[in-house]
Amino acid sequence: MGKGVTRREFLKIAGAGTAAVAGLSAYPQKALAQNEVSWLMHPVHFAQMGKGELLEKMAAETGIKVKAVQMPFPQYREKLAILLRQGSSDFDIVGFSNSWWDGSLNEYLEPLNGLMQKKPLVNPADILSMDGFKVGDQIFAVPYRIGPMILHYRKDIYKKYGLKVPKTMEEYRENARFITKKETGVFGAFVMGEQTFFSLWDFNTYLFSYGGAYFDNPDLKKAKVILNNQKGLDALKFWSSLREENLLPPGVLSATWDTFITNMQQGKIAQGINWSVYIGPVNDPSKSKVAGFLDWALPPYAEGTGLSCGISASSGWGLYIPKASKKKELAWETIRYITNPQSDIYMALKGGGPFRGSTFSSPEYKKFTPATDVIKTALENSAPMWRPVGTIRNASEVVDKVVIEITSALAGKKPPKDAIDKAAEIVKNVVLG
Amino acid sequence: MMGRDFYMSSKFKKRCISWTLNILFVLVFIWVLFPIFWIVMTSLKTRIETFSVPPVWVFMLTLEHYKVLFTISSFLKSFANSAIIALLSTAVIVFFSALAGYAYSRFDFPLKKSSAFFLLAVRMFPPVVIVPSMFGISKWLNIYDHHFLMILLYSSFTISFSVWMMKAFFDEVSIEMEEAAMVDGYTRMKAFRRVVLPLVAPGLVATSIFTFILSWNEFFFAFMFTSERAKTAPVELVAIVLKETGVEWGIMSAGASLVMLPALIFSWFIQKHLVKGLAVGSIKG
Amino acid sequence: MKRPWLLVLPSFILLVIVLLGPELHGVYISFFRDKEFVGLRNYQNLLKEADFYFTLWNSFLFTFLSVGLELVLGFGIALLLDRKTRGKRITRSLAIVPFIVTPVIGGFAWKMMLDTNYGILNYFLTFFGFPMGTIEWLSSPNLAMLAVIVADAWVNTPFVTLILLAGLQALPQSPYEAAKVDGASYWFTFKRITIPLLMPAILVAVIFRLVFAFREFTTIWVMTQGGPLNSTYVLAMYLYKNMFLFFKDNYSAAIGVIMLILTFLISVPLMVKMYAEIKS
Repeated sequence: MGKGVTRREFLKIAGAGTAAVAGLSAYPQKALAQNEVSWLMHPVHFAQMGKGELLEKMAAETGIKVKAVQMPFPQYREKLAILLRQGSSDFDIVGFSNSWWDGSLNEYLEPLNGLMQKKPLVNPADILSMDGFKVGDQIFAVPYRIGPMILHYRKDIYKKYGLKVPKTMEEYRENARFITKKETGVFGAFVMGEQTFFSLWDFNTYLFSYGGAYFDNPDLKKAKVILNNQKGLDALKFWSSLREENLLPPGVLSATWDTFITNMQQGKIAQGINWSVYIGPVNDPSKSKVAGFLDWALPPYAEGTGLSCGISASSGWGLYIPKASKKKELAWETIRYITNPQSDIYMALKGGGPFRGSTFSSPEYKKFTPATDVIKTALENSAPMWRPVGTIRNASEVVDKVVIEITSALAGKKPPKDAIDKAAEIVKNVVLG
Repeated sequence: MMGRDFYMSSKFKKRCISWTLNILFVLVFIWVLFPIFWIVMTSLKTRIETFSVPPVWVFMLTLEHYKVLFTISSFLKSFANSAIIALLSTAVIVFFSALAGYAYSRFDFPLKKSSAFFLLAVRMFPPVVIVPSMFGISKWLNIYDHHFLMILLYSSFTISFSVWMMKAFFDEVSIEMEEAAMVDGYTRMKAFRRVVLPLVAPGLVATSIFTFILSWNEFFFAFMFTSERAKTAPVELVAIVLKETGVEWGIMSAGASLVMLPALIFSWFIQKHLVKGLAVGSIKG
Repeated sequence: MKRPWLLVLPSFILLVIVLLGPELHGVYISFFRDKEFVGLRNYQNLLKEADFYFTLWNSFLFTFLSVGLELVLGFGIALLLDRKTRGKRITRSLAIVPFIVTPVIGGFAWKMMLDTNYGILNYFLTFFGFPMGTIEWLSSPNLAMLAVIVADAWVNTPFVTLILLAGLQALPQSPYEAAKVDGASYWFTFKRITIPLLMPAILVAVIFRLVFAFREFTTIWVMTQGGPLNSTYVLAMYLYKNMFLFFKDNYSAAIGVIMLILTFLISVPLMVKMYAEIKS
């Protein structure tokens, strides 16, 4: 009796289970149409394309449809890396940022030179900072959302104390000292010190603006690491001095891009060197207490470098085509359309990061956002992330270890000389082998 | 008038204890609920107010964040996905673990000890490591980005714990209960259903709540293995929230508040009906 | 009844199919390096890495402190809630509320509350004489670990509470009645009756919490990403980075196996105790 009931129960479960499985499996993946490409993107890109409006326009004009798949930022690169490394042909276009582009992924991406020769981009000379997406002479992506770092400042505070817009790093620090002392509750500078690539990004601006670089030769086979030469050391010393002199708001070691925006919006900082794409949020009256009191200028450079403008790492998002894609030609057509001059203006007006000189000169964009000349000049002066090289293998590992060194110096836990020497050693070991 | 006797009296002691307990209860209340309260408050504030110091306690309620969420159809769809996955995982788990837990508690059978150990051992491996191979397998079986895959994953994540927990609860019920029922003519399984199960109702409730919440809230595997079809609520929420214009704390709080609701509703519901349902079939007064 | 193992079989099939295969594959590749068999080389490299010992220490610190905190708090809350005669359902629902918050969101929420300049916690502390901006919770290498432990404990205490509360409510009345008749004090009954009877539930809660806390990653990642200055860098994060950011699949698999062994070492003594309890 007992055995019978048990077996019946068991079979009942098995039956129900299989039925459920079968039922749920009858829910197949919709296959893509012949003229449809699949594009993996960050939600902010979808937003800058008018939440898909630009894509619809493209479909109307070229007949190519895009299936936009949005993915959230945390773990975006992890999932993307897995997809690429597993040779997934799920996506024909992937957008990712050269900030965390690991050169080890290059073997899964299609170099665009061939496609470019057959059907070139519209007016390619107009596109700025293509260098950041090249490896040697192989081009891997076309930029479509980029921005240099510029100086954001409170013009009302400058006016109040008769301060001048700083041209050099020294002047910048002088202003910072003055403001922090005189204006209660307000700090004169800002640094992203979080233990992620953001702190490296922040530091790169100072490094390059001091005339420093990572390597002395764009050809890595012949290059030496020069990160810890005098210029690099001076840059790190200057960077850490901002914290040593208490010119930064508290919480430096967990400060990131969002912190910059919030601090600026709340009026906590009067100066800050950070990305140009944040002009929008910090100047937005619905979110910012200081909207309308801000102005922008070129990033400062160090004295004696012979520079006319500070150099930041040209960071941004590019459109890449995975090697495993089965629709490369269509993907390329899509890229050509999205990166043409009209599209760039469209996206710029929706809060994008323009990448064409023509956009910066266009009347529509000039009306839309202040400081277009500043951004353009800063962009023209920007350098690839691993100056002079755009991408390196095992970048994630290098970033992971170098960031510890520089934030230790920033926190005052390690002398800048030791930190930068160790950082240089890391770069040498991991990259040059 | 209050003599020494009063302060030594048990009545006073009792009142002291009762007072301390009440205070503790309030503290616990604050510890548990304050962050939630803060999230809900943030969801109703504008961004300027959110970061104001001193914090703004009295303010105009703004529903702008909620409005944004409701206009995003993918957010609503992700709720449906999460619901399907969580409910089915819970059903599977409760069923399997109740049976298995009972077996471990009451019977002896070959490989009993090693199998119980195996249940735990399998879960000791950090799940992160299985992601690449699982990726390949799910693609091959064509269940990538499918509810079924997530149900499989979440069920296997929680089964070990649920079996052990149910076993512990069954252990607390003396075996004489079923024996008495069987003497009265019940079969084993009937005794199980009518007598023992109602007595472990709190355990069933705990297991189902735990499984549901875990399946509802799980982020990492949902992120890795879902895309368009089966994206769950937490993944979708994070996608909406992390923009390059700054973390949308307001929308995140609104979304978090909404995402919390189904789990709360489920726990409430399950406690009410499960206990009642089992009690109806029980022979114990 | 005949064939009681049939009741256990479904659970097994599930586990074997879904988890065991990929896990064995993981162990297998830990002995390779890109298709080339290298034996124990990955393990040797791992044991030479300073990062390994460093993250291991952080992991132990994090695991034991947060589980300890959860146990104490959870037990206390369970006892308190058990006493409540009115509104049992409400109190139980309330107790598990933090658990309902997704760990990712919970991490963000705590990050917001602990913000050095705008966080509500620092605001409350201004009343105790700490001006805004002086206590850097997530910015300070000394405090970050503490902050992360508290946040994680907040999310996971309900887990313990739920189990112990259910256990308390399922306790038989007879031993207590007998003790009352004998005139036993509260502490006596607690120590001699409640704890032993509740031991299976306690052990289940503790074992599982230890296992999960040891591999906890999401909350910490969201709040500090391992910083500042590696103060919250735990082993699970080391594994994650090696696997998903540095693409070292084989090396990561080796880390996974080591974590497996460590988890065993942490939990086996408790499991043995659990078995002893069951026997008695």
